[in-house]
Amino acid sequence: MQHFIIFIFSIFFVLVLSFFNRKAVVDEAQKTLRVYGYSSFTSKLGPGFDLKKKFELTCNCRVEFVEAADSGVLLQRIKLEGATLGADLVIGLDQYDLQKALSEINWRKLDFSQLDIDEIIRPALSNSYFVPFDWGVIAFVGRKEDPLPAPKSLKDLTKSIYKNKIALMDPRTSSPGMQFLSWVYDSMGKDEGEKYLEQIMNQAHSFSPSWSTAYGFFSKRQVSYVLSYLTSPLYHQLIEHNNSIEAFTFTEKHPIQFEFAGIPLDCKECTLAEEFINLMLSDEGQKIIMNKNFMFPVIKSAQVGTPFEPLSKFNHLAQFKIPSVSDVDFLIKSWTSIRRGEKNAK
Amino acid sequence: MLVSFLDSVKYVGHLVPISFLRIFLGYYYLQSAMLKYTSDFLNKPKIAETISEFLPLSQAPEWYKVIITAQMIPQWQILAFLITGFEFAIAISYLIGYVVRPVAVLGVLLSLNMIFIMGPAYEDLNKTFLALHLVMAWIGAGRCLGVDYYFYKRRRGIWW
Amino acid sequence: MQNKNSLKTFSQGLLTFFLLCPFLVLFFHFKMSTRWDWNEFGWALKNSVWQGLWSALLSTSGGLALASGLIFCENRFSRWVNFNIFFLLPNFLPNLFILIGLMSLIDPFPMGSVGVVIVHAFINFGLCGVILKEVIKTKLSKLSDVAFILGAGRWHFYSRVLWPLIRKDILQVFFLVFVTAFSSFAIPLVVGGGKGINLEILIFEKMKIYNDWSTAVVISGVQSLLLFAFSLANFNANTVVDVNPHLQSRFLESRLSFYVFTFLYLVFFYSYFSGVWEGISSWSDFELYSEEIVSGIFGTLAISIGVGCAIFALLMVITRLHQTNWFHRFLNGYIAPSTALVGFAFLVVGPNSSVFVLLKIVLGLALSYVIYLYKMGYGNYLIELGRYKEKAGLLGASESLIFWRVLFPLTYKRMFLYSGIAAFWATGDYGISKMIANRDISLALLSETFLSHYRIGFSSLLSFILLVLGLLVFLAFRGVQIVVSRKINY
Repeated sequence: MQHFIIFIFSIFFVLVLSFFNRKAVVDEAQKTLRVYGYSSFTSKLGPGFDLKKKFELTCNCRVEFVEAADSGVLLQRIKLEGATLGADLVIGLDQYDLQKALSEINWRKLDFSQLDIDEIIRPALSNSYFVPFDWGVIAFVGRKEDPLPAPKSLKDLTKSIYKNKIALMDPRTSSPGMQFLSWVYDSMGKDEGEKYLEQIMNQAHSFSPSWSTAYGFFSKRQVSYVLSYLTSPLYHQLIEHNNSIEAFTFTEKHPIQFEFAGIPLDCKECTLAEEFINLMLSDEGQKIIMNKNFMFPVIKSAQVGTPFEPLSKFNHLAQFKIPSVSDVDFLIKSWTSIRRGEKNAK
Repeated sequence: MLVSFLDSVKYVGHLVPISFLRIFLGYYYLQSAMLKYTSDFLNKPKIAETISEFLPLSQAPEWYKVIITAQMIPQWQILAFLITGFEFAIAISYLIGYVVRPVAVLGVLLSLNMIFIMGPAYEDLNKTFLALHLVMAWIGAGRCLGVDYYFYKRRRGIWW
Repeated sequence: MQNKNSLKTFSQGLLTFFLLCPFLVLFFHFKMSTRWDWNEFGWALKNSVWQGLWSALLSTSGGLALASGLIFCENRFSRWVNFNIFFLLPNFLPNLFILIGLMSLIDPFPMGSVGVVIVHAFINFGLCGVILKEVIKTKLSKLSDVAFILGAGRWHFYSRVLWPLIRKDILQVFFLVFVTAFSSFAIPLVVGGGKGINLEILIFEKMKIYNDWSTAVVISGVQSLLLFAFSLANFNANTVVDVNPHLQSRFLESRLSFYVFTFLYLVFFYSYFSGVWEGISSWSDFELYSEEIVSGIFGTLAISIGVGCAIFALLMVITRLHQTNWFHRFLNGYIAPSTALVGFAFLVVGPNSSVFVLLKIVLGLALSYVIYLYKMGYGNYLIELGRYKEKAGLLGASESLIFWRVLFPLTYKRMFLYSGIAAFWATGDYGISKMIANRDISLALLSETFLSHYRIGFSSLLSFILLVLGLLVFLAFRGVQIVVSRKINY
């Protein structure tokens, strides 16, 4: 019996090993488009899965997603694998990643200036290498039935009634966290902003490493307010049929976050990559992205008649600009120095 | 082991003809397995399509049809791997004459399943294979011109 | 003889090289820069030491109290349930769910360094308690009876008998937790973030924000060297291998400890399981994503079984090559670099497709865990077995015979236990898998993806499935151990 089991096991072991290492049995004519992104986009929960299925129907190609944990690892991975396996398209960089991306890798120039987009989005097209495919408005989110009065400004958050009630994100590891820093400095200036951040350090419940952790605290009612997106309540309304979550409008203009796609210069399937971007920016593609990411589409017509349309008319928005390397440096250094000013024990 | 291999002709020489049949079967299965491995049998859901087409019309019991349809068709790649793996196992076992008896039982099960899922074109062939595997298992065909004789000499028992 | 010694030394060198390879790979991959901020480093080091010391102190004290509770429990209830697993569970749960559970327990929860210490302590109470319980069992069981018969009081027994005999073990456990807390990343990032940066967070910051991988590698190297220097203090406790320890002793057991800790853990688990229960209501999601979940289950099983087997193989190699020389000192003191760096080192080496991804994840995890498991008591146990090796050697046995006939029968149970533990830990791995994998190949990665799409309930459910899978794999290793023990005894 032992001999038989070992024999069968060995056969299958060798078969599986050799299967995974043989060259893929694909049509010679079938090309592979390698798309690098985050799991929030490439997984079945994200828009990537549906976009891939749609694209493969018409392109006579295979789309292969490669996930990375964050932008740093993503860019390193492209540098490692790009030359041999090919890196054709990168999806999911936000405005804080762009300068880093430009310094690490060379990119193809893209021209999408003819897109039918809102004027508020046009500044995002000011660079020549990356095109935005969705955007969101940063806002604080809370529950309607919360007994505390809704905060109306950033300054309100420093009131004692909100102590330990606010979940924020760490700007070192989370893009919304970085957005919050930017929001504070843009609306209050450098000195006032630093004083405000010192107060918020003691005021906030936590500075989580990611949006999902912070939102987890909010979902579990550990906190009353969380830094999120204007469209977050829509998820609860449309999927959970829960209308109790709302986003608050602050007196300070809200920052905008964009997600970009770009094509590395060393792409192997550059035409396919451009076609994929075209799909992402088509009406159909934008609807898929909007419904999966719960972010606004960049193409005007995609949100007409949807619950996203009224929210997209929110016009209390800060002027968008792509931060330079010195801007990002300033934000990080100020955060670092405010952090170091804190004692160990509370 | 080599000495035993050669000795087997002296002591179980009456099984030589069946050994040739065994080796031929082994070669047939090897060809079949290699074909499945090198083609896109493991990559594309051809087996799922075949099952969907032929299983409902086969003589298989209802519970069998339900299990295959509900579990195997969605997991077609696992099924494809299992079929290919078992064919390789039968091929190598029959060619070298190692653990022939239990592998022949496996062959019986494989042939039975193939009768139901491969359709009428392959039904007679699979029935023939079923009979051949049964004979291999019954006689212990690995003992002659095979590695099994080495173990048969030392351990006896039903497995060799 | 000389040839055999050279071969042994060479093999030890090879194993050392394997354990050091993440550093070596990264040092060669990234050109070392001279950007170094002493202020920043000193501040992070201060926080690391502070958090490490307090976490270790609290964990060890709590662990000692819990140990007496576990002894009470074993005396009364061991026939029906094994409470060890119950108290060890927080070690295996994802960090978010531990935090949510603790925040239900302690409201308001003190964020900052204090919060970091509390979380570390809570996670490690169980581990410290179980280890110290075993130590007390083997060293003190009969002595406690003798002390009682001779009329010693409880505190007299603790101060004159217990503390002198097990203080080195306590210090060893202290050091184990110190090392874990010192090099902890996820907990300080969530709980202390913005208020208590430590070296691991500094490393991560260098990688993520500044893209300064070379400085990150250097900081990681310095951290490992510092911990290695700490480990040079001799905490080597003498382990007495008492085969049938007698536990019935009023001095060793504590009913109060048992009930207090059980209550705390029950409140904690109530919060966790209510999240899981919520997840069950999103059952429709399960059908929608069944393919990914099934694939995730297979991926998780492949990783955990692979890690278990790799740990078993590594422990066998360590047992075979073990000597109380530089090799033991190195294994006792070395700390693997942070998971992000280990993951990246493996990413850089070799192809990143198909089976190589799984292989790299397995090797990366095995590398990280084997050192920790060695410190968890395996190293000291091997030291104790040295006398058997010596005796066998004097009687003329070869190295191979000593290993197979003397050492292996004495160590295989622990090897299987530690392999099972490593396999359990591997089911919940996120850090290394995220770095190396191209997609969500395991349930842990899938759980995180669900979390980032508002689905916290379903994510909780997946984390529960992870726990169940981990338990099954652990039991599988125990089953194999039982089969092997029959073969050995036969």
